[in-house]
Amino acid sequence: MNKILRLSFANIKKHKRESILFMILITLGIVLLSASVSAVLGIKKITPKMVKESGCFNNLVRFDQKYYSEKYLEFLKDNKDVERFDHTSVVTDIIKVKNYQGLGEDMLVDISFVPESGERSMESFKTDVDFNSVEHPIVLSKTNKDSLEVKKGDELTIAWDNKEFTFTIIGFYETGLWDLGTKMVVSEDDFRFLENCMERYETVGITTADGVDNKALLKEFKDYCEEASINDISGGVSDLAYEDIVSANDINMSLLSIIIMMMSAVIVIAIMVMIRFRIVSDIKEQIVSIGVLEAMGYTSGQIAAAYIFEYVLIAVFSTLIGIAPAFLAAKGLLKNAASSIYYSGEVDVPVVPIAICTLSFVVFVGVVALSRAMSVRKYPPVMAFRKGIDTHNFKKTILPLENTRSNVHIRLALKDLFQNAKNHIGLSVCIMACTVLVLLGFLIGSFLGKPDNILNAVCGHELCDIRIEATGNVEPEAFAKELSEMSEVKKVLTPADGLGVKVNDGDDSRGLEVYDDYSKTSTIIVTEGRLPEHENEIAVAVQAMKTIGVKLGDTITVEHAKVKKKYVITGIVNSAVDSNTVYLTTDGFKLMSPAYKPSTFDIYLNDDVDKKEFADLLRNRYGKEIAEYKDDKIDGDSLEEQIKSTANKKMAEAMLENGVSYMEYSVRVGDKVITGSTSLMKIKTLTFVREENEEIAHMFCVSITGIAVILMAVSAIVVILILSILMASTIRKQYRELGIMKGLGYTSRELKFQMAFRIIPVALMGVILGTILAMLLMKVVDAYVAKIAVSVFSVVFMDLAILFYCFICAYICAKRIKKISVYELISE
Amino acid sequence: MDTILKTEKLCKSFSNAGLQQHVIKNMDLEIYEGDFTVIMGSSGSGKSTLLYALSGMDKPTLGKVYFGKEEISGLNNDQLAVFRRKNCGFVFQSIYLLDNMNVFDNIMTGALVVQKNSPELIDRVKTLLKKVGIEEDMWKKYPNQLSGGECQRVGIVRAVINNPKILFADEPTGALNSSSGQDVLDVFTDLHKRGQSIVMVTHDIKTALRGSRVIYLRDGDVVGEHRMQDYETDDLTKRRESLQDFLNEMGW
Repeated sequence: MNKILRLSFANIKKHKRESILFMILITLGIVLLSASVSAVLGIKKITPKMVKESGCFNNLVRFDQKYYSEKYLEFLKDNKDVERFDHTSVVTDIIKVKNYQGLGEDMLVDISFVPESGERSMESFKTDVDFNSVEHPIVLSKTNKDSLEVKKGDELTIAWDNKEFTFTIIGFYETGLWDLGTKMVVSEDDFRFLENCMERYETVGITTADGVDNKALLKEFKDYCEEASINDISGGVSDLAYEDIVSANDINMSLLSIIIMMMSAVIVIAIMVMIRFRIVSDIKEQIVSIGVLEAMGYTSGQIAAAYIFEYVLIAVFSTLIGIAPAFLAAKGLLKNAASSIYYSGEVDVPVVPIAICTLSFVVFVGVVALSRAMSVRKYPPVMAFRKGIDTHNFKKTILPLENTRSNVHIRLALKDLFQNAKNHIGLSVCIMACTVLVLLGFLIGSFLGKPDNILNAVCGHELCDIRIEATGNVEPEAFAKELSEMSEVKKVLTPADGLGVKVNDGDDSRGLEVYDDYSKTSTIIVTEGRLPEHENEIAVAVQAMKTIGVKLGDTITVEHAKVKKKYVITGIVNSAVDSNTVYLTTDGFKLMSPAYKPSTFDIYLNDDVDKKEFADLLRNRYGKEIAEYKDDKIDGDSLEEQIKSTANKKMAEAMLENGVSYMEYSVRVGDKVITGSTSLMKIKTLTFVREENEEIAHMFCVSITGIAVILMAVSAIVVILILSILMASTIRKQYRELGIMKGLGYTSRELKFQMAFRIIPVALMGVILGTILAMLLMKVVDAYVAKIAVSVFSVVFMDLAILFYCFICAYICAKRIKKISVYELISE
Repeated sequence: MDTILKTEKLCKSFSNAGLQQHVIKNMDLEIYEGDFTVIMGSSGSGKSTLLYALSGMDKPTLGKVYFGKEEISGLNNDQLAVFRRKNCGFVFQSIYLLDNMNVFDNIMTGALVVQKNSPELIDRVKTLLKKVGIEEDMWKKYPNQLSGGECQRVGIVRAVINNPKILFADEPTGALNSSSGQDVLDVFTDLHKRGQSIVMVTHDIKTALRGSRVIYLRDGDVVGEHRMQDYETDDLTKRRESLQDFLNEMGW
């Protein structure tokens, strides 16, 4: 045993550089694999832990305020499966946070506001704050504390449209399942102000007894609400069952870990190939020494064991180095995963998977080493002295030099390549795996890394410059015509906004887009077929095709307001953003809802028009948003002005809260009659759709680009590591040949070129196979995420870049040829 | 005769465990074109070191080496490689054929680094191989299927395939049996007769007899020189006696 260990140590010492490179490769593999496996397993415990700690309700149902009724709660009161329930109001919008992270710039953030009482009823709200301590208090979740980089006492200024509101942060709290993006808790007074300016919802939380089928219960509850309501509420209700929340959270949180697991798979392949290659090279190189050792009485088993020990020792050492970073990386991944579901509590890192992964790595390295090292047995001493004479193939001369027509260096490189073709298969596999990672990273990153691509190709929605939701007192066609006749306007579309439908009798409510004429839309793109043109046609988003289980040409049943109609699927819409949407023509939608009249107007401006100035122009012409009238203070120099101001405020309240479409007033003061109407209150809301989405897309692009860069960087590191090991082994193995060639007058540069050129056909094979595999995987991405445009030129360019990178790496790694001294070789 | 190689104050030393070992000391030497120069000396006298310094295989520690009028001691490794392939041929004691290539490819490897492939080149390889007694049935064989003498003759063909201006040989018969050694030496003699400049290191008198000029080294310096007639026209007994006398004088 002692002898074997000494042999192993001697080998490691002799090949110090390669051993270190191997150690780095194995450490990298251990860290990535252990961390990702540990994180994937650890992620499953985060949501239940969060629920337990926050005391939140397990199931949530959200109603648009206009569809909500207190009478729905009767169903829950008498239900034996329901342990407890409560409800609260919430307002939500995409709002500008001023001076984001203290960097001086504003950032759009999806924020929900909840009153203090609401938060306390829905979650434990463990925080010691006094809402009376300052004028406009606000409490943020602990996750927002980090993302917004704020502290207690800071001011938080939010802005939407032309309004600004400044809060003082009085504390932070731990949130549960009820995240709603960036949820902030405000005082009751401030909430009452905010609910007039933003979309308002009612959230019902339900906790059930153990063993209850939450999804079934929520379906019953929604059916009950539907029955209890005189309206179709399907488009205004959404629910989240505990099982779905846990599963969705787990999938969302696991994505990064799975990507890292893919990277570690590439490294595992690389390690396997490299160990195999190095042992084979070692045995060939040391064949005479092996013969001497055997002649001295060492058994081939002992010599094989020395090789196995050598690699196991390296693996054990890598484990010792890698286990702490693996633990930290797993913790980092879990923290990152937890923050993505707004949980900032402590995460538990599963240690056992880390231990198993590292141990598996050692065993794996040992097994691969064993499988190769056993070939020592093929060489009894005499054959070893003859340098394994029968290992050469004497029957056929590959690429004889007498037939050389071009460059001799290329010929020599190819000759060596084919003579050692078997050894190069592994390298080809490694490069193939790296090519897959690089191409996927590049194609996804370069496409989804550009906000314009997200907005124009995979958004699945129309992104106009300004969207106006009109009050009830406009005639849609006339208003659209009026808008489109303005010189600044390129076109005006009239979509339906916020509608929901059910498909094929399913329970899930899906988004619905409705347009008169899809040929006028710009960013709703079909991957197959065409957008609907006739009333019996429908288009479906990419993922909706999968979830509904239909294909192009099928007929589906769509239900809206309890009316069902059949439509033929004519196209698949590329939509990575809202994957459940279906698309109908206005005439098609009217089959279910004959009284439908559009109230939303999408305005597309000419390129040189300033959006803000145009919005002001609209406000001057059609009045402010009605919420602003409602918030206005009553003022005016004269009594008449004060009366008009008061009347406007009252009319705005009536329109907002009671759905009034038109009002007139007449007030007599002495002899004077003061009159007015809502005819100048045509704008309910005005939003800059594209601008808002651009900022969201920008944030998404940054993270996608980050992942793409990581994928490519890991591949680049793996390639350079394996080529370093490969070149070092090859140079050592061919030390004598290279020395002789130097003696014959070949320069180091020519020999380095030969060495590097040898890997080009191998790399080319790997790159071609990798490209094919990557393209197949892109089809999966196309089917389940969104169709990503693949430019053949980009793919070819990347393939050439990979080949060039491999060549350059190999050329640089072959620099040790320079150190080969002919004189040393001769005088050995 | 014109000088083909010249050294000025040539020094070569090695560092061994911190100690400088001066193998060649301030040597001034001229090698003439068309000469068959034999370098002799006892073990450790610096014979091989001198050969490799002269041929550009190794760089001198101090001093200069001129090939014709060109100073080669200042060239970098790649420039030396280009110099070697254009001007020199090498025959080694350990032969150093490329094990992974057959006989023909071993020679072509040396040839194609200098010249482009052509039917003339192929013909020349075949002619030379036949001339040194390597028949066609051996051309596709690998080095470890040949005897030592056959390998060395292939090595000589590889060394002369590019018509080098000078051929260096380091103990070319050192690893061969007597019969094979004689065959190899006949090849050298034949090459010399055709005007090939040769510098050969040996400690074997039989081998040295083939030369036209014998230089004797002791402690890294030239201590004696002996000129001889053409090998083929000379009386071999007298030639042997005179060389023996010279070597005895030198303390051989």
